[in-house]
Amino acid sequence: MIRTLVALSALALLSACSFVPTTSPTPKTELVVYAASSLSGAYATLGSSFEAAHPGVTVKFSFDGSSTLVDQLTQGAPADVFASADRPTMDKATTANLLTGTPSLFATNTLTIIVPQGNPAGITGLDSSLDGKKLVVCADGVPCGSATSKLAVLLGVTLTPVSRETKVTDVRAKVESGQADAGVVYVTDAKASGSKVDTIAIKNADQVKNDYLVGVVATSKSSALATQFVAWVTGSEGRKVLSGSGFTLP
Amino acid sequence: MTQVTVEAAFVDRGVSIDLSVPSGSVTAIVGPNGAGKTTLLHLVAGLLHPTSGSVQVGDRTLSDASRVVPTHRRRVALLTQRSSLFPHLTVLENVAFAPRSAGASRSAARERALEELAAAGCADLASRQAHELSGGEAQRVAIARALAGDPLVVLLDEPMAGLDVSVAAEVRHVLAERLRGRTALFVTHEVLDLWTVADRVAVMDAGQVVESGAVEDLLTRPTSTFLAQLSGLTLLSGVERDGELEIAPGLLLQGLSDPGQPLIPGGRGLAGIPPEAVAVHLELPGGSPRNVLSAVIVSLEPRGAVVRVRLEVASQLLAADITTQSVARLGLHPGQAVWAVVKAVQVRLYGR
Amino acid sequence: MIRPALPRWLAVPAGLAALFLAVPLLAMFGRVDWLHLPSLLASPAAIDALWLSLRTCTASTVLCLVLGLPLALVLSRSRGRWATAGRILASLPMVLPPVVAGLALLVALGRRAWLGRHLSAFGVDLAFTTAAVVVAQTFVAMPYLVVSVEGALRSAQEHYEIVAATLGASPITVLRRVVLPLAAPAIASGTALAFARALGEFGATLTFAGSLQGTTQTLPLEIYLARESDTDTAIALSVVLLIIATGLIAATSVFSRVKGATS
Repeated sequence: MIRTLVALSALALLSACSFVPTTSPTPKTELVVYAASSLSGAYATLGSSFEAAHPGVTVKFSFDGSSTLVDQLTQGAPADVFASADRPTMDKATTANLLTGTPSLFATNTLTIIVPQGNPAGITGLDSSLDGKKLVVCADGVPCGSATSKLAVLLGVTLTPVSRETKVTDVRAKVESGQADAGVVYVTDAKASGSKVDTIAIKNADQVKNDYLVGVVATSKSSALATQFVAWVTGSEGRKVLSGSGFTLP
Repeated sequence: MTQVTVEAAFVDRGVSIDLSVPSGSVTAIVGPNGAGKTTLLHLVAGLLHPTSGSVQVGDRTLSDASRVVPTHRRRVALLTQRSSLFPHLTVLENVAFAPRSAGASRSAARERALEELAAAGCADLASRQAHELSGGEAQRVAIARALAGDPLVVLLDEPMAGLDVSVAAEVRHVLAERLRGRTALFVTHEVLDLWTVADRVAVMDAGQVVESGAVEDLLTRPTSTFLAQLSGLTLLSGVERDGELEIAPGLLLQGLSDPGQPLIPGGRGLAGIPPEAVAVHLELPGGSPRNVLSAVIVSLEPRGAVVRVRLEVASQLLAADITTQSVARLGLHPGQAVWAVVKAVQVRLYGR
Repeated sequence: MIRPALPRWLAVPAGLAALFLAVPLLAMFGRVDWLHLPSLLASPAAIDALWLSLRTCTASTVLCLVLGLPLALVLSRSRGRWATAGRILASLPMVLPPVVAGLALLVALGRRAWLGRHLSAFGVDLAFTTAAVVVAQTFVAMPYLVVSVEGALRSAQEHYEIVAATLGASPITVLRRVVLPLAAPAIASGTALAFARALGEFGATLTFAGSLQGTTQTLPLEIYLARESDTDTAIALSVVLLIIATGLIAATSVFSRVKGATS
């Protein structure tokens, strides 16, 4: 009985450990990248091409909200690279000395309106056509929400959304399913939603840009490789993939 | 009139019953396990619906092919081995349950309940909770509760089975008193219940009522092995000859003829023999007593101070109670040929 | 009577298990900014969320009782294949990931869905309303009530019901005076569990109802949002949720002890 229990717990611990990125000092071929959720498509592609160009290297990603990732880094998460979807969050990380050197700006993102395919509610832009319609935006506390508010102020419109989502993907989901008549998301999200939504450009959208920054994590055990990955993102390969995903390049 | 008439079959349990319980009679239902006694009660209570036939109380049909009166409209109370007092109610509320269900006011129901509790000798328990009662108290309260609804028929399914002998005696006393004059069907295994509570008895076997009649008649002159066992007798059957019973060609048994049901000359008859009236001898006893039968020992069962010796006599079974001492002295063992001597004055002869 | 003791070494894994459960919850109390707790909780968003949660949870708990209790009663009397299917169905939302529950509600009751379209035809539009929150909460909470009450109803009380019927109680009287009172402890603890589950509901609400302060942003959604920008508020609200949940679970154990005393 005791032997069985001990064996079971050992097994459980072993199997759990194998999923945790290793931090052993042996020559390391694994690169852990913490990146904002909106980068998931582009970074997955970049990861594959980076692996192809650097034989023996495996790139692992953790995609989540930028501030969640900063929280995890503060708690000592074993990451090598961190990419944020806005400047304030990256500032938080640098102030907390979580990064080495200065993070580099590698892309910007702007907002757009998405509507269910065929635009059943007849939305024309961030304007009075939204009155009485079910508009879904991001919550104020998250980057895409702050950007939306800023843009609304700039355009002099008052938004009355029926829901303020914590994640931009939840905004997308509600428009894709037809629950909402319109949603304000990043251009890259609109692109990712494909034909399930129609995109309606917002006037002066380029006035409110979200800056995407990437840097090497201070505690990285393989900062050389991490630096190479940052260069890969900011270099020609990165520019090609990012613009393909709808990002604006700096 | 609350005569109960059951002429019903319940195929699933192989039961086919034809029984009539006269109004005001407490009829004991006896029989081996699995004979269908509980099924009979459930048919009357409406907890089972007959596959065919009918159940009637008085001239009201409770179940037949076209209609079924639901249990709660039958006015049939059921007492079982578990008292099933509602645990969330006090004793008084339990007993007031039936009057309340019948629409009586709170105070009228309470009065009725107190009356029944007093009659069952449990007036002092009124404010207790069910779990605070002993087994005997709970069963007495259950009796009060069953009778507080003025049922037309009371059904009892071995209500004393789980109780100690002395406690069962108290409950039996209450039952005897409270059931007098009511129509009741009383399933039991205890011969004492038959003598003290019931006035009639119906014997069930293999899903059928095989005989029924007054307790006195059936127990003193049993005609089936089951009833004979219940009244502690063994039966020998034969044919009347010269006022005696011929149990095998030329083998005559002497006894007292029962005036209630005398032997008919030349007719079939039975001898009811208590085991203590039979003695066992190894040698043919001298002094030419009558009733000396050649026997073979079938089995020996110790029963306290005596041993019940089962004997085969003329292809019939006879029981003898012999002291342990005598069994040892005589060296009795199964298969042994012996002589059985039956005291004529303790043998009851009757026709069948 | 002395029951044979457990092997002593069991205390080690048992203690570990207790610590494993207790430490994260206690750590939350340690991490709370007690000094600023009142002001953290006094923010309009926090007050709205707390108030909305209490309102919606009360509504969904009432719905659970009104609909779940009859279901539990019917299931407790049912035998055979359909009853088994019913029991599986009734407990399924308990084990579904909440987001799956939300998706299921969306494809059934969403604006584009078959049922949702018919509801809109009658002028009922659930999308992004407080009612949608109640629907989501009821969907995930009802199984807790049904499962705990059905278990109690099925366990040995048939003989009480039979006796009640022989005492002249009609089915409605049996239900009112025997079945429900006997199941009262289970109903009470099932209700508390359902309320607790509704209070903790997150995924289905987020997926199905959206998130808007005062309308659909319940306590867990507010905590999720606050975590993005203001960890202190998130933890303060979490502690409030923890305290309410503790009270509810404590209540259920009190109810089950009441049951123990009367059986």
